[in-house]
Amino acid sequence: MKYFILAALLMAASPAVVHAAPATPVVIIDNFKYGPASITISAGQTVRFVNRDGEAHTVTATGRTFDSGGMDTGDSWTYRFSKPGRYAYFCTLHPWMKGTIIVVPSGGKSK
Amino acid sequence: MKRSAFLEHVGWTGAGIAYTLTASGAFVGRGLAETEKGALHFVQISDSHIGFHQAANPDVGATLKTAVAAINALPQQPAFVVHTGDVTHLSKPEQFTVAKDILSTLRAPLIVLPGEHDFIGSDHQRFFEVFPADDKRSTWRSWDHNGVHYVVLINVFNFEKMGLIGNDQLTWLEQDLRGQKNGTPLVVFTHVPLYALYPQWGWTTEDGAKALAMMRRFDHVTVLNGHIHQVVRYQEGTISFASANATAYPQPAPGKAPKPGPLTLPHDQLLHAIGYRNVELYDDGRAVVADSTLA
Repeated sequence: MKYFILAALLMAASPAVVHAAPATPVVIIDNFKYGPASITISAGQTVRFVNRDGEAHTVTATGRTFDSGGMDTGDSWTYRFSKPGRYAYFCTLHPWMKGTIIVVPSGGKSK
Repeated sequence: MKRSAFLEHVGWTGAGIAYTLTASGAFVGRGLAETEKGALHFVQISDSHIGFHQAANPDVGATLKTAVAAINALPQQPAFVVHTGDVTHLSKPEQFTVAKDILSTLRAPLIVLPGEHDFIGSDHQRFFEVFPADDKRSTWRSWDHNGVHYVVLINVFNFEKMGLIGNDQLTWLEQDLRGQKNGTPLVVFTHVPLYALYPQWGWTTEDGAKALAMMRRFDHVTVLNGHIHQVVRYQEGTISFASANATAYPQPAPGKAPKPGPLTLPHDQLLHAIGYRNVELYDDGRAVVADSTLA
């Protein structure tokens, strides 16, 4: 987490990096679903998760490498995916809710 | 529970708003002052969701306080009060603090089970710091009191499968029940329903059937749970199941809405849809379960 905050600060402090990064991808949580359930991003990109549902949810990696903690209605949470890979996540309150973030090397094209 | 309150409750159910109340199981509307000699009496509360602040109940602290006051005002204090989980909404430290402050005003001894809302985050430590079990490594437990065998099963430990009892706990349960006679009344507390109440909404315990198989030889088994925020009763052989109301807010009856989640009722109906439960156990093994609303 400390590392993540440091990285975010560095990004903010460096106009060149910010300029290179495309708009922040957003996953909307609504009606007990992550939308879209699967997105592809470039390594180093930050994903924003927004809970628009009437129920609380979490964004928790299978294996718990990342965990939003409890997200109430209206809460949002961001996470930077620094390494390429396939990241499966779910909601610990409603484990049948599942999503995937596919992270490709930053030289590759996103989306 | 007062008979009038019970009739009111049924009337409300009859309107088809939120509850499923199965026909099985005798619902005795008897005042507690009339408690028969020899009966052991305890109270169940559940799903307080301290920290929740949506329209379904903007002040869950106030309704929990109302429930505590009603229990403290009972003509006979219960042997204990059991909270069957989801004490907090998001496992936040301040939510645990508020919950503990309110629950500590109960006159009777308190037993607290965790729900999945109390385990959000990287571990279970926060819950067990606030509500320590005898052994933090094995919070499932049992005890005997007045000839009754009580069992606490925790079916929210596994985040990826809910509910799940798990093999360690099942092995323990088998050993725990082995020494008990068939005639010993069994009372089991869980958070998530042990049977497949409505699996489409996660209202089931994946390996619950294994636990229930160990209980079938007993003459009287009462399984009390929370999680679904409504009274649902169900009988399977000698096993009586009773899901309890929340103290926070109701949820839709199974399949009566596109999804589970907080059900917002007209303001004057909330107190009819939340409450607490009196349980009386008799020498012959009978358990009488009576739900009271906060209205």
